[in-house]
Amino acid sequence: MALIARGAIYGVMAGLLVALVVASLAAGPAGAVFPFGTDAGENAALIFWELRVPRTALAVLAGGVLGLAGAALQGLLRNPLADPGLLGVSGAGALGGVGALYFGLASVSVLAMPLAGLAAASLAMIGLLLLAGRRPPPATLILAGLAINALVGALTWLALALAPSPFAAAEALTWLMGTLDAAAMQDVWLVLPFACAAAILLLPLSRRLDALSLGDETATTLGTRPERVRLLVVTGVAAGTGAVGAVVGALAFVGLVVPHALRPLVGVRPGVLLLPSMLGGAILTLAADLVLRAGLPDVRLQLGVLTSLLGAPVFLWLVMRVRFAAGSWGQGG
Amino acid sequence: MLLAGAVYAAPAFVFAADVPQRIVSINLCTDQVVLALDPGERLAAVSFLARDPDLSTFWREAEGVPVTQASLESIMALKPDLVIAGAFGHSRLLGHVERLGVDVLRVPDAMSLADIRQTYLDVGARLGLSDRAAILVARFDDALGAPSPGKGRDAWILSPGLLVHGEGMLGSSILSHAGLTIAPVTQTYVSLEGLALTPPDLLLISERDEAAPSRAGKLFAHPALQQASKVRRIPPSALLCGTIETAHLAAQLAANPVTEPIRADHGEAWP
Repeated sequence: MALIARGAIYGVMAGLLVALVVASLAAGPAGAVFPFGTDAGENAALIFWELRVPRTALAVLAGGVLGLAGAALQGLLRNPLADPGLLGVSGAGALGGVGALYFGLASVSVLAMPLAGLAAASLAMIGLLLLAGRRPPPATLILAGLAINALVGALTWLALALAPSPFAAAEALTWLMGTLDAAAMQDVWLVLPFACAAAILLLPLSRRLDALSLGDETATTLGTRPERVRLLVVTGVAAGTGAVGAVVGALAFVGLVVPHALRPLVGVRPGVLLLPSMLGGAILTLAADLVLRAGLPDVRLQLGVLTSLLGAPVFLWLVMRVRFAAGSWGQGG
Repeated sequence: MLLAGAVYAAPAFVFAADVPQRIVSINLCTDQVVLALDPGERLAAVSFLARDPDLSTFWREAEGVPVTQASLESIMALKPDLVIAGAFGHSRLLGHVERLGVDVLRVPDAMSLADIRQTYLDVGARLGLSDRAAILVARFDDALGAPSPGKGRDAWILSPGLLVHGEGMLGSSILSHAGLTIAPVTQTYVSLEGLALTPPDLLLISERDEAAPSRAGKLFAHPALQQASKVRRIPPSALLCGTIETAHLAAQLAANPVTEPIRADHGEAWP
């Protein structure tokens, strides 16, 4: 893929993201609001600054983290099925958030939710690597991921059933599918440092993930220490998806579908996919949330339903392409 | 104390053939009615929810009564001759109960303050406790007081998840008694944005205290909601089911809608 073409793709994606951010700030159930100027009502400013800004920011952060985490995991595990949602890492983050919120830890310290999410997501990642090994075949990885996903899902239900609040059990779906309906600035400030940490840890791994795709031994001769890369990816993915999961819930499909959708455009090297996947994840999540808020204001729906509804057809189309054109990107990077 | 009171009150009805002797209530709201009427030893069980202090007005009384789950086996193990349930739900379960020869009384949820009175009278008559039902209605009216003239303020009652109590619900009856204008909606969920766009003067949120945090509570604490309206907490037990506590709440809102209603005790026990 020529460098210029890749630059053009980055440009288009960045432009799309900016357009979506503007649309997300401008549109919603309350219609367009203008918080600037003298004729802006008090409520217009309130809706803009307290509802739309945090919700848009959280959608961008959550989507960016999940897209980036998906690309990094697929690169590290050299496996097209790696995805924080599918493998239960986002679900573990949600479990940590549920544990912290419903059992009162969140009122002790505001950092309890993201930290509990990070801890649970780290455990899930470590469990996954122990179960599946260093270079897991797709079947082993998906089985290990299924087991972890089922376990954290069941533990989330259990925690909600045991929670002191009588309304807790009714909220299970919002955690298992992910939602932004209560997004406030405080949530943004909670997720932001962890999302930045994930980006700082994962984005510079571009070359080392490429080297690792040649195999551990070849990578070592190229000066990359596989153990160190593994540790950095696990830390970065757990920090990002743990915090996102703890605040937003287990948002489905973003980490899986975004790198796949971008491979035909930017190439199959894991390193080159990191940045566009981050942008793509933010675009998909923001677009899904925009459809939810502006398009279906009277429908109560979890965001994860929309990301799956938008992501699955793209994924299906890619599967069909591979099926009939026998591409090579689906064979394990 | 209550049981002791019931022991000597009960014999008056024991020999009446059509008066139930083993009463089981499986619905939180019918629990409230039965516990208020207090049939004493004839009350075989109430639902397990009746002991939850946040949902149940008569949770203290429920401590002295066996509790049951709404399952056929646990109900039949109590050898009931009358099962009291809400108007909706459990239709298969109650069908089995009836097939096994046990009477079933379906009691609709109170949708207005007037419904609460009528429910006391209806259930009281069925349990052979019409005298007590009449006293409960008098106490209820006493607690409620006269309706307040219009205050020119509008108010919404919100349940967790931003469910608005609209026209035709118990909450709207409470608000009109208190002289507050009601949300012009039927029961519906609203978005934070919808709320912030046309905020009512007063938001009454039906939520227990912060001791049991939930995501729904987080929604109530959102700055947009807190800044748009005056927000006051009301006890869920006063709103979920029609009880004497509902009358106290309506009276408190009528007197002063802006101060936080204090959870009222539900009045004296039977002599």
